[in-house]
Amino acid sequence: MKDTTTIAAIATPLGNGAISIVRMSGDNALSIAAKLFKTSSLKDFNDAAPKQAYYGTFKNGKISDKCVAVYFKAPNSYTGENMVEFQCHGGVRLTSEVLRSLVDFGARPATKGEYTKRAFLNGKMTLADAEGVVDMINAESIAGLEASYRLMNGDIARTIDSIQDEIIDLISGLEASLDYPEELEEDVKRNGVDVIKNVHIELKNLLTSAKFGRYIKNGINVAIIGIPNIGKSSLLNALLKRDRAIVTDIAGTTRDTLEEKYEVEGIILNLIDTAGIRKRTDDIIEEIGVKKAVKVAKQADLVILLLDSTRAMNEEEKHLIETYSDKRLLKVYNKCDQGIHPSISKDDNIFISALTGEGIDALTKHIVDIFLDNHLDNTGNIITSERHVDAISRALDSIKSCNYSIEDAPIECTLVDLRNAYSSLGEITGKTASEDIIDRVFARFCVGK
Amino acid sequence: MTNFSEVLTNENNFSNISAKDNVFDTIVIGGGHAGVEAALATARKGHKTLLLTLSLDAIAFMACNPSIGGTAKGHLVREIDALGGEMGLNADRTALQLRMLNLGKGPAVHSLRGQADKIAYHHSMKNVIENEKNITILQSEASEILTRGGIVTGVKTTLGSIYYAPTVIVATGVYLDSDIIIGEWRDYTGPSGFKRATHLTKSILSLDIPVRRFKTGTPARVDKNSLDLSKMTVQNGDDKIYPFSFMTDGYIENKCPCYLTYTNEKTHKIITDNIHRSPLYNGSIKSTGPRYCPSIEDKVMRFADKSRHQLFIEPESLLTNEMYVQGMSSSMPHDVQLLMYRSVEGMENVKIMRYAYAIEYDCIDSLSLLPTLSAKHIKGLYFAGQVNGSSGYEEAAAQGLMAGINAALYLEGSEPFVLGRDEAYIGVLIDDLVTKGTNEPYRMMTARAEYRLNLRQENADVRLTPKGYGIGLVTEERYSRYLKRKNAIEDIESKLSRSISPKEYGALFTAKGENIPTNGLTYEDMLKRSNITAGDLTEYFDELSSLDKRAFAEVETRIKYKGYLDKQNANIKEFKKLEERLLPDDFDYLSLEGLRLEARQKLDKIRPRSLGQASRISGVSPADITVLMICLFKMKGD
Repeated sequence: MKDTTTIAAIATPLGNGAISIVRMSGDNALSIAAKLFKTSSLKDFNDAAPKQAYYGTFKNGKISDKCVAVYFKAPNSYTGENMVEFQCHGGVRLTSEVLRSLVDFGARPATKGEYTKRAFLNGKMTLADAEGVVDMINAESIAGLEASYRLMNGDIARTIDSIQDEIIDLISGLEASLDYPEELEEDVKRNGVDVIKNVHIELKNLLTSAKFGRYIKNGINVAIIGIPNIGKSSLLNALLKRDRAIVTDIAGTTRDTLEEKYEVEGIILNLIDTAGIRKRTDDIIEEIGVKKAVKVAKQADLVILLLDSTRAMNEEEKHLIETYSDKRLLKVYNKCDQGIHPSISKDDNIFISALTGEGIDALTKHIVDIFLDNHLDNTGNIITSERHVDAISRALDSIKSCNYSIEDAPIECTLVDLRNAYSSLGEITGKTASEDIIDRVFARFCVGK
Repeated sequence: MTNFSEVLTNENNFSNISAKDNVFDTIVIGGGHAGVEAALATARKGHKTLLLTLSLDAIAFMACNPSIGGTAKGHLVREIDALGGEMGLNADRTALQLRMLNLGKGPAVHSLRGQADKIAYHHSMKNVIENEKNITILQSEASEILTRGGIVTGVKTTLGSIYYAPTVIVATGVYLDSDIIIGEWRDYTGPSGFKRATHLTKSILSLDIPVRRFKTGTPARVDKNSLDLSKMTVQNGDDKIYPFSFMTDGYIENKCPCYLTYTNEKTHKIITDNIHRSPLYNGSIKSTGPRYCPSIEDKVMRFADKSRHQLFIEPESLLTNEMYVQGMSSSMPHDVQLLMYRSVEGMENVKIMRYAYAIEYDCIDSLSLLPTLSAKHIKGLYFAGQVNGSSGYEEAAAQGLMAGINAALYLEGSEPFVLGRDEAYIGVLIDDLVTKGTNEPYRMMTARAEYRLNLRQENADVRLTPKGYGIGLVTEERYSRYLKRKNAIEDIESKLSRSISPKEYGALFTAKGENIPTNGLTYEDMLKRSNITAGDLTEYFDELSSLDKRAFAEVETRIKYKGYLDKQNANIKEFKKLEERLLPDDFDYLSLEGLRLEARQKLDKIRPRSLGQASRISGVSPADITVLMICLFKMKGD
């Protein structure tokens, strides 16, 4: 069970400032922090002294940041509850990853005004301040859930709507079979297996896209990799439609990574040209470049592996595909103006010529499509979307449990999960189940004496 | 009651009262399923109760189907029984057969349904109230509810008599200004030819309680001798199922079968050919009918692709040949009805004894009630049953019981008794009525109970009997039965926590095709497996063989459901956080600047008891609730 009493939020304005503050409030603030933050001055951050700044490392999987953490013990904190503040390096991406880590470990993204509300409820504010809180929350209620919902990308809104629709259709069928066992002739349970599988896939996709949504504001990092002299820098120039990188036919010309922003259909692509990757190099500077290229590619959202269309893939290139098997990887064949080797399938590969510009627009469109197809939430409201991600993953958990229960447990048990899934999504759309279910039962089934 | 005594002494008429005959603690208007439970509850709690009825022959009369229970309704009956009500006992006394619905599903949705002998049911219940020493029964039509300064003082009848009481419970069912409609013909009577009540609506309106018009219907009653039952499927009751009441010992004898037949394309053609003559379709009935109780013309018109609809032929009583045709309620003209009914297999020569009819009646807007079922602005005035816009005997009885309990508690100066949505179907029913209101006659459904895994028929006693005992309605005998059962359950639970070795359980696992683990297992662990049942355990293990079967089944349910009960309990915990934050009765919502106007108006109208109830009002948003929460806190601080 997720702990709902501990909340987390980014306290400083979003943007690329030097320092950002992420804070947490609630019973488990300290224990969640201790799981993620290590400092050399303490064995365990659970033993932290209140109001003291600790320098250490915030680490969760790939994210790692040197930062300062301060623990405030209830009631001597802003909210009057246990609080932990992380002063980490600025930058939207890092800050929101820190927030997401706290959520992964049991905190809930705070709603607007929740800190102030808690502060007031715990007697930390005066009456005059409280009036302000009422106004603020009220302002939110007018803009409210629905407004932020409408502001969301139309695709996401429609997808969640239609998922909720599928769920409630199934709920109403199952409910009808419980309330009208003698009258309902349709086999509603059998069809449920398929519906649940569908919804499961849809929610998973949604979650993936929601995660991508977080990157949108800062751009999608696209790393171009390949063995030396395959035309990576030419591709960068072709995509940018100007000469940014130095292009020669000497292998290993690019020694450092080059990064360029490039906007297409409202989406920012951070194109990263890397040094050609080869196993052995005598040049120390080139070797550093290669190492950096590997690292950059590992962190990118999308990796373009550039290949030569006039020959079959070599061992080194096959190795690269394996190295990046956990990444979203696009195989692009350069030099298509010089012909296509018979071993290369024309169907699922992309062919370009960085030299003539052939296929470049198609490649750009392809990259954008990969992300647009995932219904990117490009409104960029990271806190809101953090809450949405949270709601969607809870819905997904409930649906996962349905996968099992629809086969093996009684209908009323599956309904517990289905209703939980519906109400989790309802936190985004504002739609609640109660009357909807009854309405559907009678709209869809001929039941009643 | 000080207020009431003042009224009595100041009342001019009081000097004319020659005897104390005219003074009661409670007056119940109406002797239907709600009225009798209400009267029994106040009387059993020691309050002098007057029961006014339009007809003594209509006491606890089953005006529609001759059955009690069914999905969700069976749960209500068990709950009424667990709290010390009468419906379950009376249904058991007069049952013709019992069936357990939903046996193919989990125990939370098993629902008991019983055919009741409607004549016996009426007689038996009439007998119970006649022999209740604190009840006075009088056949007389109430014409006016008397109030003074916002408190109820009594009831006036059409004969001009005045009866005084500090509490009045209105349980008038569908009798207020009711019309019976059969095709083009409209008659001004109550159901089944009984007299209707023509004065009380005006009195209710004058108390500023909004009145609406609802519609419902009933099928024809046909002569059993005119049916070819051999063409129908016989439906017998189930053997050996536990009856409605926790007080009834043994099993109910199967006295009489029901029969199943179907409408067909011919029936549907007769209906579509004559649809212009249906008052529901030609506009002469404008009131709201229930979706869950559609007339046959509704079913045929709305679900045109269905080639047949089920009809259950149910016995009305062992004392009559009248049979009830469930599934074929209608307001078609009588000649069309005869054609329709005769088109059904087995009913080719049917003789209709009473035609199907629709009935329109006045009821109140249940949003004008508190969760105690008391009118919001008149102290001592309660409403229960179909007059609140509900439908069904069980829904009525449940409200009657709760109104009776709360009237009694009010008389005693005690805290009101309100059941939560997580505690009982009764709680869901009343909360829906007073929080969301209803635009059609409200029927209980398991789908409405979001915490239904906890609200099982079989644990109704565990959930509610201690509460009923605390209130004083549950007898010592019932309470000691409950304690015995509770102890049996706890005893079994502790027995099942014992761990035994693979050697001991090997035989069972082999027989069930389960892999045998190397470690010891508790009986509880074994029961968690889907294909091992309590029955298997009793069969294989001597120390479990003599356990109380019914208590063991309850423990089995708790174990098998555990994962889901845990999920539901987590939801309940969230729900309770808001439910336990009570709002003051006199909260001034209208001047609460922080709230949106719509929320202010809704809250002012409904006057929720708790933040939780407030959150279920349509038009009140989560942000409104936060504002309320802050205001509550501020008030405490001041």
